[in-house]
Amino acid sequence: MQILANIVVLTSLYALVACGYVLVYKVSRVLNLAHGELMILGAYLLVATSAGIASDPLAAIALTAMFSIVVGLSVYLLLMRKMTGQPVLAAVLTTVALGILLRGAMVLIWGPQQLNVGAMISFDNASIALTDSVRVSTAALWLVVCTFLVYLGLLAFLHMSRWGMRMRASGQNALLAAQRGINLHTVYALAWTLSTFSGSLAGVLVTLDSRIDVNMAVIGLKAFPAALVGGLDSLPGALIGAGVIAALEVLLIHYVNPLLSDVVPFLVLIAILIVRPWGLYGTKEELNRV
Amino acid sequence: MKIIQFAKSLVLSATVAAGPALAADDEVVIGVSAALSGSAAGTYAAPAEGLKLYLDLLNEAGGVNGKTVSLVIYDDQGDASRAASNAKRFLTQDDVQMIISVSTSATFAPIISQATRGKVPVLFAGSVCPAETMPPAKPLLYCSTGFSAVHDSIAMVDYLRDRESSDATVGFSAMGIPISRAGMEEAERLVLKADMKSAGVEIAPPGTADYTSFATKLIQNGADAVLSWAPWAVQIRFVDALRKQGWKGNAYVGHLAEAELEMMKMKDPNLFTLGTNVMLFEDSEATQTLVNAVKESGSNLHPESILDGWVGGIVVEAVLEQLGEDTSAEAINAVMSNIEIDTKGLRGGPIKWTDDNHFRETIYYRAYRWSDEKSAMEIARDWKAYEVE
Amino acid sequence: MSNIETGIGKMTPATTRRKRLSQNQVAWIGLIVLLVLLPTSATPFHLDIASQIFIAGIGALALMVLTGIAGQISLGHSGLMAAGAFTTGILYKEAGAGIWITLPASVVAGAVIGLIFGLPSLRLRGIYLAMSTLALHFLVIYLGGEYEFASGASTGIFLDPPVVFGFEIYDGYAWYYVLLALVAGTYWGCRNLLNSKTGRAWEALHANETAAEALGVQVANYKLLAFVITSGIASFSGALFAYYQNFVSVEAFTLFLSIQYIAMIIIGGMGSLPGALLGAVFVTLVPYFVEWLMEAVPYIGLDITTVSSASYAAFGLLMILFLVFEPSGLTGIWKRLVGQFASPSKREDTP
Repeated sequence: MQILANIVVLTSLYALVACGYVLVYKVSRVLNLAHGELMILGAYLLVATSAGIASDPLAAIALTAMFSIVVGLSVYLLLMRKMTGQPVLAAVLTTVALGILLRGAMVLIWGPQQLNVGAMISFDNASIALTDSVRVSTAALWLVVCTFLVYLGLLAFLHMSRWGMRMRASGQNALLAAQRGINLHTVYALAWTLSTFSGSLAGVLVTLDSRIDVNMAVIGLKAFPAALVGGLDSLPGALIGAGVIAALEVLLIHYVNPLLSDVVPFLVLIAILIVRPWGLYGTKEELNRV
Repeated sequence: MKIIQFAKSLVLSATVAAGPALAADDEVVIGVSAALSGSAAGTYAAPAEGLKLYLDLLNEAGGVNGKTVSLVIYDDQGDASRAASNAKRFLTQDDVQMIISVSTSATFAPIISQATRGKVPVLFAGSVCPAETMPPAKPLLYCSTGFSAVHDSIAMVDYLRDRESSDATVGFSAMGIPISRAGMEEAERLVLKADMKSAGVEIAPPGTADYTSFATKLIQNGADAVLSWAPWAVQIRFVDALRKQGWKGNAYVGHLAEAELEMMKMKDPNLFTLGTNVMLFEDSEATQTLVNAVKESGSNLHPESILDGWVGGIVVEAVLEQLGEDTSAEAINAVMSNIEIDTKGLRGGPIKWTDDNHFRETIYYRAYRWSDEKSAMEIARDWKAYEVE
Repeated sequence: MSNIETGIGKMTPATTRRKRLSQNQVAWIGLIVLLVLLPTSATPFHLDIASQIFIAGIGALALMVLTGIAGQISLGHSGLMAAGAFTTGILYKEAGAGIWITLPASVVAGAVIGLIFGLPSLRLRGIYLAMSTLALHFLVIYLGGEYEFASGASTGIFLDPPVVFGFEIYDGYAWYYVLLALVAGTYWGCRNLLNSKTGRAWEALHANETAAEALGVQVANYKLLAFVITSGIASFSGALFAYYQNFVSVEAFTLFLSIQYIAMIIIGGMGSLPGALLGAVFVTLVPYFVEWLMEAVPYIGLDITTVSSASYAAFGLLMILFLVFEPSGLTGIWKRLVGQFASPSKREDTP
């Protein structure tokens, strides 16, 4: 049973990270390989706010959320906006470069040592007993709840609100959407903002659950097969993909060889992609897209 | 803050030539290859600063017997190919008389291979001690670092047997790098030899972000106690993961650089560290010197994190003291291969090297824990000496 | 077919390129003479950097052919180099094999892995394909790590300097000339390949797969061929790396290494073979340049950790600057400079 709880928690983490990939890819066909770094930047923003501005944990988290929105917006306006109209490969590589830049900058600012964020904002990550034999930490429980809320919110937003419709329309056919008067830049900026916000949320919660250092950005890489298995442009797909990858990882650690938990998700990913090249729920794309 | 720090380190390093320098008679050039950036920097950047701090102060005070030290520090990012090119640079461009490694075990192969070719002694100070420094020691390779996978494991198992019942089940956690795996597999062997049970060795791949599932496995295998020897970040996240699932047994981990500060935050009386360095709460003369030096340098590093590099500085000083007119690499190696170094109260006893043993003849371990009664750190067991076979 | 849709592609027809190269022959000979004479005034440290550049250059040429010419993205470059290094290391350690066995074996191992991991490219494209090459990376690193641990080589596998015709290659000068010859040979081989039917087929399928298919190009075969050939070369450069550094260890082959190779071909200029070499020079020199800058201008900060992370960040920034402001890379800058200074001579060429 504890294993099941572990799978659910890990699924939530991967799903919350993966939805960031999906949001940006869905509207602009750009894969944001700096997502892991942006996620950890969110957590470091919490370190900054709790150390400098707000002493109350909730206020610090709220401020961090606001900062993360600013970060997402600036990434688009200052950098990715310049890449619109460029080849997609160039845009993807720009995000790789952004990731390297962010990593270096974060070590410059916050140092290479790992920090205990929970202790900084006096967050007590107590163990909660769900049943006699199943326990999860407070932060992990928050993670599950937040992921649920974020997905609910995003799905409602995409399918019911005006801007959500516009985002979906731009993703399906940017040219047509632009002709119908949708401002693509606003749509892209919105996608980057939402993506960075959800990523930062994941970053804050996962670092509250353990510690923070720059290497935590690797979670971004691990959530990656999750987004791909489901199909890069489908939110429900990302959720299911996260479930598949998380279950695989936990079961491999538990029953086979933990060292395989890095390799096997990618091999499964290839197998699934060979059968369904656009993931389980992704939309089939036109052929000549790099 | 940072700017003051820069300015101060600038003043300090003014006495040390920054770039390539030819050795004057009264100057010993030492090349340092350290993981100053990259994923391992959290562990190794601080001891590298400690080494520099100690030797800067030594130079300021006029050196030893008129000999000063010129440090040439290159970053290797904990990366093997960078370390290789650093080592080549030390030997061919900087003409160093000694190399000091403060980096990951990944960088050892190129450093050892180049230094052996160039016949220059290597001191591992802050890097984990490679097997090559232990008896039967290979020539030219020496280690003063406070931690060593296999010896720490022996001390941990020995201490664990004092504390746990004789039929306890013990779980082990390692990181998927050879040195950590070797240490924990040795520990498991010792535990089984002592007729205790093993809950298995959990090996987490490098870059694991979530240790929950590894911890679940050990708990379900009935671990009463858990041993871990890995980089501090891995050890402690593993303990976190155990506690998050309500596990209340004793955890034994290696005493690494960040231990004291972290344990004071965690306030976990069932977490023990085994190691060869003192913790700074004891406030002896030796620890005060170190703490003051860090304060005066304006660095924001926690003093305990530089200790292994600082001890490396003490080693260099001791070697210079015994060095005669000849300051060649060969002469330095001759001194190093037979020396007893006073660790000035920062370790349980001296570092003694002989022809056959470049690690330590006797290694002294102490156990520390958090005490709820005192609401402070305490010594759980005082120095115990282990002969190195 | 516009540039935007095809990725960073080289649109120059092969014939013009051949012509231009033959007219630049004088410049090439000059460059070769310069490179041959360079060691006479170089310190061993310079020779070491040059040798690193040559090894990186061989790897970058391979990736340029695969990504820049044939249009297949790969994040598995570091894994392929590891495969070559380990094939060499294992054959040397287990069987004491000499360089005449280890190097060809490494090339074959790389080619076979390339074939296997090229197979998904028949179904997958773009980002999805990049992912499957990422799996290659993790797999090779996992296997290499298991071997290292099982063989008790906790600090890596040591290699003795290779012996060629009774001559031990250890000295910096010897390595310089050997690697220079090898990088020149690789360049020459790649250039001939691109001017052949194969090269034209790759350019066609990069530009538009469907159209290439319609024109009778056997897309699947040529794609796999691109993977096999470039993987063999990448693996070869990994084996050279192992010999040059005298050791093999999984920890030398990180994902960041793959990214550095991608940076080389971007900074050099996508689709251009000389660009791959320029990129290799540039990316290898960046950390030394930052270090030199910090030493030359001591007031910009001295904390050693700061310097190193600044160098890391600077690398990311440079990549961004090239991608945003100079997508055609160093080759683009070079061409503009040549265009400005030598426009009269260029006018003669244009028919």
